[in-house]
Amino acid sequence: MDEKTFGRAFCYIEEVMNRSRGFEGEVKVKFDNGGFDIRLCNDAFKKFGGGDRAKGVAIDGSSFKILDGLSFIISSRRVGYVVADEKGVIRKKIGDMEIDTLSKQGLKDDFKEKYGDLMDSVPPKIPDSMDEVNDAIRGLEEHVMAREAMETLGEGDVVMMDGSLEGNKFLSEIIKENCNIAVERGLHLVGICKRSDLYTNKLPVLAWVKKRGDSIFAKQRWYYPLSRERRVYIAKLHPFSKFSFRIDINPMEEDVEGILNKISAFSNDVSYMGYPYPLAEIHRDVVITSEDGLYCRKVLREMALKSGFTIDEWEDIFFDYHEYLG
Amino acid sequence: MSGKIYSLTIMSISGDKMLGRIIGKNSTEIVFRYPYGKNVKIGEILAAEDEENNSLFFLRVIDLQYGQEGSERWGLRAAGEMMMLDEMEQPYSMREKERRLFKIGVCAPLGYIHDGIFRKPKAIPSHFSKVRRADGGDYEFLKKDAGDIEIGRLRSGEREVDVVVGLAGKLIPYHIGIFATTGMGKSNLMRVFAASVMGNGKYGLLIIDPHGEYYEGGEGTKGLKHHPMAGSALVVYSPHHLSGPHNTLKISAYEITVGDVQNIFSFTDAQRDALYAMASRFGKEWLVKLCETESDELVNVFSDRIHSMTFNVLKRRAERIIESEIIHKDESVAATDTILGHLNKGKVVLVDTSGLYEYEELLVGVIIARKILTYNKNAYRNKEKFGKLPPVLITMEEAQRVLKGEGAFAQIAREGRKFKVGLCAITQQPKLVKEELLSQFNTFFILGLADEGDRNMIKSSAKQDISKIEKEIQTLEAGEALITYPGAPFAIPAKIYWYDDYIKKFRGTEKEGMKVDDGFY
Repeated sequence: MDEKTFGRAFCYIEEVMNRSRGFEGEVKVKFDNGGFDIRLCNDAFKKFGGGDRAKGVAIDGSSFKILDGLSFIISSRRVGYVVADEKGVIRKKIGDMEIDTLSKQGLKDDFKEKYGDLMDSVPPKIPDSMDEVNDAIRGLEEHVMAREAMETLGEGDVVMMDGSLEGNKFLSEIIKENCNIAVERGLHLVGICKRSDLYTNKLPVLAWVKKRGDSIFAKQRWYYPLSRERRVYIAKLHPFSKFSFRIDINPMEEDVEGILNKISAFSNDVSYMGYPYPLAEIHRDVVITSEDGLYCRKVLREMALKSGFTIDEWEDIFFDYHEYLG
Repeated sequence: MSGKIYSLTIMSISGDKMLGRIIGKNSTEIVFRYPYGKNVKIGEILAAEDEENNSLFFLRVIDLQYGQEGSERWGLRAAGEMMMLDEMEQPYSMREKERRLFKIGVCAPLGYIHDGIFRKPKAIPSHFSKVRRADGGDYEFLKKDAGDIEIGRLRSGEREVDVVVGLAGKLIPYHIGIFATTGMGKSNLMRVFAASVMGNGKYGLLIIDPHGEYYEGGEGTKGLKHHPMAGSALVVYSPHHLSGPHNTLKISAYEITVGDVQNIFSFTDAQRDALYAMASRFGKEWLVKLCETESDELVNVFSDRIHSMTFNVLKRRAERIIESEIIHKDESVAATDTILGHLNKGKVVLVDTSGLYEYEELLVGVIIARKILTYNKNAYRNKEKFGKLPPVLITMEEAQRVLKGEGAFAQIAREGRKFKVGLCAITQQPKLVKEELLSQFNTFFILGLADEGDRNMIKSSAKQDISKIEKEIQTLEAGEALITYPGAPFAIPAKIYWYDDYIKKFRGTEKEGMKVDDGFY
């Protein structure tokens, strides 16, 4: 590689960094299902005091592709929730690991069927790839589990989903329904994103907001409204945290600061400072590790061999030359 | 260790009883995970219940480690956050600590019971076997080898287990080493050992006490004279007055041999030749003659073959011996034969040498030890007579002084087992003992050694593999010991009885008191 090759890449990085430095003005933020215009400016930052008492549920899921047969995949999923308050975990429900087969040919039907089973309706949109279908089904299962968890909560409690509420075209219906259920029950539904790719016009929005927020409200909790209408915020939940997160709040909610105060009551654990600890807990509980995936793969292969298939037959379908290359 | 059938109960353990589960490693090291909130100590003996194979494994904890769920980075980050918040004087909490953090115990497998038989650790417990603390009933297999000289109770870490630990008297001739730094409880161990020997009356025990700590006891502690059976089972010799019944320690100059003095002084070849010439010429009177005859006269006696300078040096040393308060020029005045008689009657003989010069103390020890060995060697020819002799144990403090090279004690170390004479070497510095001699010692009482060189010496000579329990040796506290001897299933951790408490068990067994100088002169 010559200097020119690196030079082209660095030019882009340089442009992004320069733009982040002193940017102030209008940008368009895009989601999967549309977007919105915002004006990034220092005046919109607000600080909040934080709370010390809260109760709620955190819901998360995990998926893992066990086998890739190119025209079909065998995937695994697991979802669960923890109910907790500011003192500690109260109870948990961790679902069994589900193993599903998704084929390219029957992809749309597979998704429709699954969606129908869970929602008793037709999906608003259908994903194009097997991986997207798998992720969308997991998202659906998380929101179905959220419904179940909401039945056990009391008024004023927080429902914390892992991920955004806004912008997922495949889940928009169930999220909308859950927002309604939450409001009916007096619960505060939020989606907290560990990562957000909100990015526009060569400007990493999250990085910009974090840097500005920390310089304006150093060692304090703050939040920044990306969209007041859609209740999409970026917030720093602990004064000494190094991280800030995108937090989507049920659009039907009014008291944004009150909800952020409650979430911050979960976010003072030194292990995950600035991140709600129940979400960290459930993430660890449901995660399907590569070891889990390898184990499932081994079980399926043994079943094939016991059924009379040969290793060659197995590898004809599942062998990936990347594995051979290492 | 085979042949005896032990009952094995695999219990369904849960809750408080259960400590953790085995996670793996190999045949020499077993690793288990246990909760953050539970405390396990180095040296604890644990039981792993292998339900799949119906076996009970015994594990000794040799190391403890930290464990955490998730990556190491999490711990580093959490500690960093804590430090930052400490600095900012901000409050913080850590939830679910019990789940995020745990501990890992590293164990040396000691053996296992399968089909009712205790076996060496030639198998490993099944994966994820439950681990719990071993309790009294699990140690049934140890009771067989507890021995008739009890010294304490089994110890698991810092916990005492209700299982008596001791030594079989038959091991006495195979020598005992007691290794401890100051303050680790060797005096208490010796007192307990003596008390136990006094209690059963089957073995002769000679204690040479250069510090005068055994008779009266120390500050706030009792001595051998307080043993309820002291009147009948203890005989005391001392060159000076003691508060209770005792005999005067006297040794006849005529019973001192050239070999004896070579144990306490060093001599050149010429001087050694002269000594043997004296002994050859004057027999048992050699020492007295050496003292009383002028050098020139001795030169004449040996027809100028020995230089007067040599005699001058030898005479000075001989005079030091003869002038000692414990040496008597009367041939009939000697305590050694009566000491021998008491030992052969299964009594504890305490020779208080406190206040004597080191050479005097060594001389006393050497002469008595030599006489015991010689007596038993002679008796060996007569099977009936020899058969009636009890094993005799000679205790020597700071034994590295007499086990560096050749001498009476080295001879006992090498030959004593055949003639029922054992040596109990007490030392803080086993590394100074000649390795070949230390290897003759079959029983070790290890009470804590700070020096690595000393520990290495012990490791290489012990009759059990103690290489894995170095940390336990380093962390032994006063009164705690590890006992190794051939036939023991493993190095046995013990808590030595506290002497003052132990002797209470002999109350009501008192016999008629000892008469002063009974049988003496």
